[in-house]
Amino acid sequence: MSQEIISQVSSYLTSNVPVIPISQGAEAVVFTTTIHPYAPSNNNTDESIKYILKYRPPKKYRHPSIDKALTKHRTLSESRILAKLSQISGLHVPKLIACDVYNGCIWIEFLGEELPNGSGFSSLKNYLWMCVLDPYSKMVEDTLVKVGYQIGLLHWNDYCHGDLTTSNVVLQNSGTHWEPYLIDFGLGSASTLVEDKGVDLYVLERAVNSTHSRYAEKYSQWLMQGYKEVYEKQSKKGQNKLRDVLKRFEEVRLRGRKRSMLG
Amino acid sequence: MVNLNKVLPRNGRDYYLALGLEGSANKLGVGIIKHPLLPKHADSDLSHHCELEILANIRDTYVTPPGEGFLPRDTARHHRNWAVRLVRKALQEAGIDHPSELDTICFTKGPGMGAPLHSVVVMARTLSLLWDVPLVGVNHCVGHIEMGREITKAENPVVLYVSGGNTQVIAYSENRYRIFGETLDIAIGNCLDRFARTLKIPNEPSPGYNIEQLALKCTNKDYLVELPYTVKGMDLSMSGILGYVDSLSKDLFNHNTKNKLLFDPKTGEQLVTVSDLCYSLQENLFAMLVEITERAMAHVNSNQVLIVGGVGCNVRLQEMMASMCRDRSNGQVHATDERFCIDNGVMIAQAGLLQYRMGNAVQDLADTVVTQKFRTDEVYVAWRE
Amino acid sequence: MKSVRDTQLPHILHLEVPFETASQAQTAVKVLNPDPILKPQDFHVRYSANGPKLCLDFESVDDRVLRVGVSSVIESVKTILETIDEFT
Repeated sequence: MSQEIISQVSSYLTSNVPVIPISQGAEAVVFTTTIHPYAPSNNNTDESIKYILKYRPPKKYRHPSIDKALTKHRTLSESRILAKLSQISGLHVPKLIACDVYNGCIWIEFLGEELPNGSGFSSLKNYLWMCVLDPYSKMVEDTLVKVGYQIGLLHWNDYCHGDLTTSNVVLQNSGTHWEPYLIDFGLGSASTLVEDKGVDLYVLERAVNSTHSRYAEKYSQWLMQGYKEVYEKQSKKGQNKLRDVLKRFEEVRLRGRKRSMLG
Repeated sequence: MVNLNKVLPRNGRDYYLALGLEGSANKLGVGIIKHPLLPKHADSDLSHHCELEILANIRDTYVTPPGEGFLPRDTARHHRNWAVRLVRKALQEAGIDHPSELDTICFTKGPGMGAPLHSVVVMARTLSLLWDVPLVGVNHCVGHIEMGREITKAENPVVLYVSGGNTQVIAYSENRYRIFGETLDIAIGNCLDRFARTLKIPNEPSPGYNIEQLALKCTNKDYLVELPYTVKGMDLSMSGILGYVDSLSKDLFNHNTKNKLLFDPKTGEQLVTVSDLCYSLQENLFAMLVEITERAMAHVNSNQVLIVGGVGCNVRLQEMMASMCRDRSNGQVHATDERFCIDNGVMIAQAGLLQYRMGNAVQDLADTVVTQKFRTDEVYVAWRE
Repeated sequence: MKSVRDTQLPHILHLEVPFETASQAQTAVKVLNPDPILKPQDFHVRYSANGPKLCLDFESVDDRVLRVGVSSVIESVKTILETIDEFT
C-alpha cells in the first residue's frame, strides 16, 4: 500500500494515535488502532482491544469537486446508516464509534479474526476459499444461510447495501458457529424501491459467480434460502414483498444478460 | 501448464499464419499475424507472450454525417463493399502469394450488430472453402483482451473493456474471463457517441475523440458542471447521465436563460460552454470507470489494469487510471494505442490463433453462425491455466 | 429449415445464378446454408446446386417479405461471387 496514504492519515491523526494498516480497499484504507477517539485513554491498557479506523483518502484521479462530494457523502451516509442499522434487532453490523465527515474518517468496532492455516482475514470470501476442500459442508451451508438472512433483514427494513460482495461480509467466530456481519456501507442507502433490492441481489449473485465460480450455484441457493426466511416469517405482507423483490431480481438479471450489445 | 503447440503449423513450417476479419460494428478490419512455433509454448502459461508479428493491419471505418449514428444495414453494405479489397490489400502487404498457406481464418462471431457481422462471415466462409483453410469464430471482447495482453505483456490484469457497445470490468479465473462489473444500461462509448450526436459534432475520426478534444479546450477546469454519479457496487449506470447532459446541452443551444446552471439569472450571461460540458461529462464518467475498476482490483487482489476497447484510447481515461494505480502498491496500468484499441482484424486473428493452436477450429460450417449476443464469460479459455 | 415441409407458402420464386464451375456453385450452397431464417413461418429459402448453377427457391407469406428476403440473399450471393472472382 502506498506509503503516502499512511503518512497522510498519520499526520492528520497526530502521532498520539498509532495506526496499523490492515487493508487497502478500493475506496478506503483500513487501519487498526488501540486508541478510542473519546474514551479516556488509560481505560485501554489491554492492548488486545482494537478499533477499526476507516479512512477514505482523497482520490487524485478524480476531479477535486467530485472527490470532495463523494468522500463527504459516503462517509456521512455510511455513518448514518450504521447508526440506524445497529438499532435493528437481529441485524449484525459493526458499531459506529465516531466520524469525521470532511476528513473521510470513521471509527468503528473491530470485527473478525485471522483464519487458521494462513487463510487470511475472516471475510466471507477468504472463508469460502479456505473451505474449498469441503465446499458443501454443513458449516458452509449454515454460514451462507445466515449471511442470506442478514441481507434479508437489511432489505426487509428497507435498506440497501449497494456493494454486496463476499469481501463485504465479515465472519466472527462464536465458538460453535460463524456469525456474519455486513460491513462497508459506503454505497448503502435507505430505500423502499424493489429496484434497488433487485440490483443488490444481482450484484451479489454476480460477485459469487465470478469469485466462487465452481460452487456458485449452491452458494447462491443457500444465500437465497436465508434471505427468503426473513420475509416468509412475516405474514402475507412479507410473502407479497418477497415475490415483488424476487420478480425484480429476475428482471434485473435478464436485463444484464439480454442487454443489446449494439451501439 | 498449457500446450499451445497442440496443432502444428501447416506444411511443416516453423510458424503459424492467421488472417483475422472483424466487422461487428462500424469498423471493418483485416489483419494478418504470425506466431513462431517455439518449444517453450508447449509447456508453459505464455499465451500473453506469443512473440506475435503483425504482417498487416488494415481498417476502414464507416463514417456517418454529424448527428447521425450508423445503422446496421448501411454498415453491412459498407463492409460488403470493402471486405474483399481489404483482404487483397492485406495479403499483398503481408507478402502472402498463396493464401492456402494460412493456418486459419478467424472471424468475429459476436457480440455486435447482426447484419455487419453476417456480411463478413459470408466472405470468411467462402475464403475458407476456396483456400481450404479452417475457420475459427472469435468472441469480440476476448479478441480485445488477448490483443491487449500480447501487446502490453500484462500477464493477469483486471481488464476494463470500454467501447461503443460494451462497458465491462473483467478478470480471469478458471478458464473464463469473468465479468465483475458492467453497465446496467448503455455502454460508455454509446453514451459519448450519442452526446456527440446531440452536439452535432463530427463523427470523423470518431465522436469520442472529438469530445476528448473539445474537453481539452475547457478553460475553467476548476469548475465542474455537476452530473449524477451512479456507481452501484462494481456496476454502473449511464443512461440517466446522458439524459441529463443532453437536456443541458439542448437548453444551451436554445438559449434557455431560465436554466440557472447555464445562464446567470440576473444578466442572462452564458456561464457554461459546450467544451465545459464535454469536460464535465468525461471527468464524471471516467471517475466512475476508474472507481469500479479499482473495486474489482481490490476484490481480486490484483495490481495490474489493462484498458481495451475504442474508448481505451482516451488519454484522459488512461491518465486517471494511471493516477489510481500509483496509489496502489505496485499498481500498473497497461493500455494500447489506436492501432490496437480500436476494433481491428489483428485482435481477432490473435485470439483466434490461440484458439486454433489449442485445437478448437470450426469443424462444421453450421457452427459459424454469428450472434448479436455473446457474453465474454461464455468462452472457454483453453489457452490459459 | 432444410427438412421437407408439408405446407407451402403462397408466394414462391425460383432463381438461378450461373457460376463458372459446379464446384463454385457447391461452395455457394455451403456458404449460404448455415444461416437460420429469422421467421421461418413467414419466409423460407432452399439452396441447391444444379451443375454450375446455384438454385434459390424462395417461399413467403406475402410479396413484401419475399422482396426483403430475396434482396438480402442476393447481397450474400454477390459477396460470394466477388470473393470467388478475386481469389480464384
